[in-house]
Amino acid sequence: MTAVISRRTRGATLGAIVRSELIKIRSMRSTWVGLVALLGVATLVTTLSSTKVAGVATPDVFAGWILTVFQVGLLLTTAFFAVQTASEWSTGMARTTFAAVPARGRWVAGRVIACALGGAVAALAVVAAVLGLGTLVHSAGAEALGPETYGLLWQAPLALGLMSGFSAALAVLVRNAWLAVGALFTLQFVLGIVSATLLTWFLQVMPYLPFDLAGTVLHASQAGADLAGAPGAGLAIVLLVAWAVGTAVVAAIVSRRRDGA
Amino acid sequence: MIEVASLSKSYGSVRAVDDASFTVRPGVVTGFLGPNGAGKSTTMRMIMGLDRPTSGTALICGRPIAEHRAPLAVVGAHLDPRSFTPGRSARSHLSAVAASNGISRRRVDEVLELTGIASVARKRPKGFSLGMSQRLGLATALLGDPATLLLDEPVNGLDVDGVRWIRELARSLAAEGRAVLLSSHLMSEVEQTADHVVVIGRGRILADKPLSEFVSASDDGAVEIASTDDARLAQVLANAGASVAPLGGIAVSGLPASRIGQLAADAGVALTRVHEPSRSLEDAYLALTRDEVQYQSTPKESVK
Repeated sequence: MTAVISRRTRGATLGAIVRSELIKIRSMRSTWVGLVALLGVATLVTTLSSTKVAGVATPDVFAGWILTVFQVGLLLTTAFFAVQTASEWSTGMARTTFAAVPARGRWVAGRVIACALGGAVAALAVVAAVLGLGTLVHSAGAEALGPETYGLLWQAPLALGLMSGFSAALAVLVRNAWLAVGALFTLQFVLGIVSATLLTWFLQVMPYLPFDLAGTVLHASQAGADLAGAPGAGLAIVLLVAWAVGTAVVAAIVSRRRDGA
Repeated sequence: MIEVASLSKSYGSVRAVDDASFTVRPGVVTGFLGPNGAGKSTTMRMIMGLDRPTSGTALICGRPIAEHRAPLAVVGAHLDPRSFTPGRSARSHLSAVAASNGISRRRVDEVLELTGIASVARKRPKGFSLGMSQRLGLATALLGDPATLLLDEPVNGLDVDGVRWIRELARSLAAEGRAVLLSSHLMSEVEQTADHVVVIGRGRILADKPLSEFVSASDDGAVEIASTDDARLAQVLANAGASVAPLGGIAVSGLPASRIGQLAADAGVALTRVHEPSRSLEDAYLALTRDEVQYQSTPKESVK
């Protein structure tokens, strides 16, 4: 008797995996709660900040509000994607995922790309919310768009997208939500404190770590954003891509060699 | 077809699977039996590429699973009833898995109907009973209309209708030419469903043969009889080369029932009862794995 081979499937291509992971992201209630929370922070910052504006808000004022939102948003978004990715293992979903896509490297790539796209879309939503609400509040001829805000339309999605991809890769590597979030907090806060108080030489390394690079990308179009010792915007983008891709490659290699799903 | 060759898996000094080799053929339901901790799940996980073998190979349709372009069309696996994210609806779960292999949404609706969970498709499975979770797992396994199916304890938690449905599903899938590997602790289920059995104990393959052959091979051929003169008949049968033992009558081994009847007639002894006990899969399984059970309970009397 010959085996039946189905023709119902087009195969587990990278595009198919990205679509699958995007469905996973958007089908979780926590995704929408997180996005609403992020937009809530954006609305709050815009509302509070706009009360301090005398007259008409200018693009640099709008950009300042957006950057304030992203101080919080960057950490919230990266933590969110790390937790959601690590939940593949804590819930047992990874068994189903790897039965459907046994090629671990391709799956890691798909997951990282999907999280990066998710982060980028969230960033665009925040930028749009701040600009929209700001313009509404300061509608007296306010011009929301200028070089600073134009820049953020690509800087914010790029920085948040790459950081979301990086955090997803980190979560695949450690397979544990607490460890992944702990690693992100260490990168964002602990290393800064340690380097400032104990290992001052590390201050020269800090600008090349992911959160600092994301900050550099976000501030790229802001006047006076250049910090001593920090790489330029172009190099920061390249290095941020390297962090995300490098972590994903390491995660894929480790994942292929490791048991368990 | 699944071809497992010299498959071994060690965890430190513990040999979970030891040089296992067997084949799961198309058109056949193969029962995978073994006591708890025997290595069934580890073997299935290695076949699916979820665990890395220490040595040996597991091929599905001629290749390791990771080398297939469309894995869900080659093999559908249901290894654990809780292999989903509890907060994602059943339909979204299936849609995501289907999308990963480029399977259409129409197929998602088909498997929801097929497994009887269409009415709860929009519900999040964190509230599902074990039976409903089993059905969702089976729906996931069937998404790619696969040539091979691995089902690990699929009837756990199912009601009578569900158990019968799984039995009929497994048999109909095999009848379509698919290879089905089904592990279960319920011997009666395997007996009614499987055509072939692979028995594993302490990581080693103890038997790999057709179900009927497995059951009959363990049959000692004893016939239980009673007569008007058991003592005389026992002597006659012993003289004819049979082994006899008292058993509220006589238990006779080594002679077929027809020959026993002939000898009794020749001796002028009337037989009042002739019983050829049929061995079940459970009897055969217990006889084979008696020494291979890793976790054994102690009878209540001997605990005192």
